[in-house]
Amino acid sequence: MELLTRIVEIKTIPGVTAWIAKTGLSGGVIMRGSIPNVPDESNPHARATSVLLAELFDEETQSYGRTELRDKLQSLGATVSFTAKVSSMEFQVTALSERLEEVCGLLFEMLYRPQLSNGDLHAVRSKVLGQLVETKFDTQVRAREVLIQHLYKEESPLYVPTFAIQYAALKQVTRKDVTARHKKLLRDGELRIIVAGDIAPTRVAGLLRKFLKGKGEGKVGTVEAKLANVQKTNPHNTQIVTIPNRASVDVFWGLVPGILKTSPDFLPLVVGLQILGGGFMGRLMQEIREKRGLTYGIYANLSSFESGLPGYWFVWGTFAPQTFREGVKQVESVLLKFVKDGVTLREVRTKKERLMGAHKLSLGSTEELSAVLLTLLEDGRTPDYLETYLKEIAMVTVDSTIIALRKYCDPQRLVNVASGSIDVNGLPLTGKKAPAKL
Amino acid sequence: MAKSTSQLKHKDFTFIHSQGGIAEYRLEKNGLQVLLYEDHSAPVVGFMVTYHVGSRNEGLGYTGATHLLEHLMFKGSKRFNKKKGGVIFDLLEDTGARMNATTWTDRTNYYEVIPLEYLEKVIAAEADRMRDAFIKEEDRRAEMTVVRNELERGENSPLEALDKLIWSTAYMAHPYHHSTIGWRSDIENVPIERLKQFYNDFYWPNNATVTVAGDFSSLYALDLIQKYFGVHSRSATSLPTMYTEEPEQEGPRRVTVRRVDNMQIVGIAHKIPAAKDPDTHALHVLASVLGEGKSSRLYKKLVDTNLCTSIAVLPFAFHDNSLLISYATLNPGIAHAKVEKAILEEYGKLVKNEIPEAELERVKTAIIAQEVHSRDGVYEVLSRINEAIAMGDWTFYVQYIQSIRKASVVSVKAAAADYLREDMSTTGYFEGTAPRK
Repeated sequence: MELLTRIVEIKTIPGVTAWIAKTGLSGGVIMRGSIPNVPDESNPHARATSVLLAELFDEETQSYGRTELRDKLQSLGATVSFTAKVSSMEFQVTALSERLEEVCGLLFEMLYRPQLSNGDLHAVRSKVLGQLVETKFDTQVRAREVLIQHLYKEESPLYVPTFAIQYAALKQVTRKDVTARHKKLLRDGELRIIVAGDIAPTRVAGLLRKFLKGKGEGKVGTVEAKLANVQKTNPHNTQIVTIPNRASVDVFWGLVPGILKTSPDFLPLVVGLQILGGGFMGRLMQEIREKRGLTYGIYANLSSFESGLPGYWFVWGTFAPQTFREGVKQVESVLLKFVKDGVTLREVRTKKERLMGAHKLSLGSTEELSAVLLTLLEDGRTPDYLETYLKEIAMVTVDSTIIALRKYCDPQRLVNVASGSIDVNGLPLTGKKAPAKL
Repeated sequence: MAKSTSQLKHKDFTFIHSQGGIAEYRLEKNGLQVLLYEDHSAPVVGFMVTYHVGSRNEGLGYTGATHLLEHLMFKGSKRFNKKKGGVIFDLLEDTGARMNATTWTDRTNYYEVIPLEYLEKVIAAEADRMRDAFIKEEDRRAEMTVVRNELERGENSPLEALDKLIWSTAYMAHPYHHSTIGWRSDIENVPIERLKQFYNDFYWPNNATVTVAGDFSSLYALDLIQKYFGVHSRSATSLPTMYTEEPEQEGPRRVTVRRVDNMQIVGIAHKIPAAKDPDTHALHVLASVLGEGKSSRLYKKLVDTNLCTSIAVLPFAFHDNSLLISYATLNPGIAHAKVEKAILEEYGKLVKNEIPEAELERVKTAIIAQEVHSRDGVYEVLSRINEAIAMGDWTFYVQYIQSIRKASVVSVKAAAADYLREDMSTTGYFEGTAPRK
């Protein structure tokens, strides 16, 4: 793969691993990076602290006031954002190639020397609380949240607490909390960086050495994967979250397979879920949308398998309240048949080729390439995996796919959650006009 | 990144001109416009057909027709259908292609991003459905419920509900009045004959632009385009023209959406000229001064002070006179009127005073950087060119950065004074209420 010849690995800076890739993005550079979260992130207070810390990186630093910092970034044509994920603190930067050195200086100032003042904490807390309140009547957010609450035990790092607990946790975070978390994060975690775009790798390597020398000890501290006891062992059940005045119902089905990305069953499961619900030609879209016109979209996918976490697979779709019960019935019929009858050789071959083709095409965009490379780095892989992945997909067989589906897709264990203008029986709330005949 | 695309001589095409690495040709037989943009930095090619038809071409009873027709275009055509091996999704399924279609106010586009070896297949399929799509009643019936659920999804969004009402209040006559998805009753009831007429009115080579971008050879692409699109004649009659003009607005307008929700939103819209107007770039700079990023005036005034959780200022660059809209999402407990007043105060400052040169230069740099990054990969390039085609001039894409550089403190102040006037405004509140017990 020609792209591999343009990726340079830098491991000579203690506490830092960087990959630098020259791409065709004329005049532009994208940097993505992350630092692993400390392993005790599975309680609401720790999670809230991380969320607020991510916001605080964007505020005053020890050298620059908030306005001065933002104006400097704008004058350089750069954007910087931070996100607190379950397993890491992540940042993303867009910059112009010719101003990269200055942007790096500001980025690492923000990352290593934030002011973390009480004033800034109050301001960002208010914003984050407001954003949380906004989601309270969002049907998709609510449905997914309840799904996760039924898939994971409270001690799992992937568990999402109730709205009330999240709100209370955010209110309780103190300056001392964010300062301690920042100190531990930057001291212990290995910094992983991808720099991709219109750049000379030797120049970038020099910049990273200049700004990052002596910054951290770089112990790799990923969130430990706890496979045992992370899933609530509920029998198949359906949860309804009633929200009035909504024209569309969001519906999720989900299951925790209890494996990691490194499991030999993972890629067969990926292929199987592509057959079930990968895009327009997935069985779900063909049966539920194309044949029956019941939905605009219904898909199957995997989530939260980042960096050694035991993620889940899910089906997500939308229905009108009036067609909700019929839609659920049809989806569950597809799921049953899918696991009972298995998949065909042709289906497996087609989806493997689709996955391989999509992978190759995605590498044509610097934005997507940088995201893929960061994921590889976080997973402990090397850039070669861009090519190895294709070989591993090619090795998936019909048998391994069917085995994976039977092990991990038992319809009787699925959790089902729906959120919208339906009552506890899944019937439309009164007052909604029935649609025209189907 | 881009290779300069020099003029090619081809017996079936007339070279028109080239700018910014993009070469324009016309297929002489039928007037099809062709844009070619070679870029060999990644082994990927993108192909797109943009039809110069959108929801602006619709009327009462068939709002949403453009979009519903777009859905029907995937149901098969004379040479590409289920009985003959499959429609376009079937054919490209195992390539991992990124493909779809989109409809908006001024255009409908169909695109595929693929490895080069599939280019011929894609061109053949697109050419076939340009004039020989099935457009059947049984497909309309099935697809109507799909589109209706797409409408329902959008209706769940408070912002979308407010946006729809603001547009339909700002425009009494012009078809920008209605949302591209159409009104529910039109989606449910539009007869197939109306959709067929719409297809026969607008789906012609002389009403379309083909764009090819990425790792391909121009001569090869022209040969294929001629081979497959060259079988079509131009339309026998003139294309229908949309001639309805919006009457001048003679005073501010106000609307409210009220429903059970926690969201509270203020939207303020002002009428702005068509994208090809010389004031457009000054307006884009103005919009960025107001609302792009954390250095923007409204962010500092509203978000940094905890009145709002977010703001956005959107100058819609359309074929006809359009809107610039500021949206602010309020923090709990903050009154709509207070935020409206704060936004208008900032508008007033821009009308009254020139912005400092330093601020202007910062904003222009940020816009240009954003534009650089928006050209990352074949799909992004096709998307940007698509919107320029929709406005009526593909060179808008190429000239954008240079035009932004020309904006001055004088032109930005003049744009504020000319367009941020109360009598040209439509203000909307989304008022979330508590559920009834």
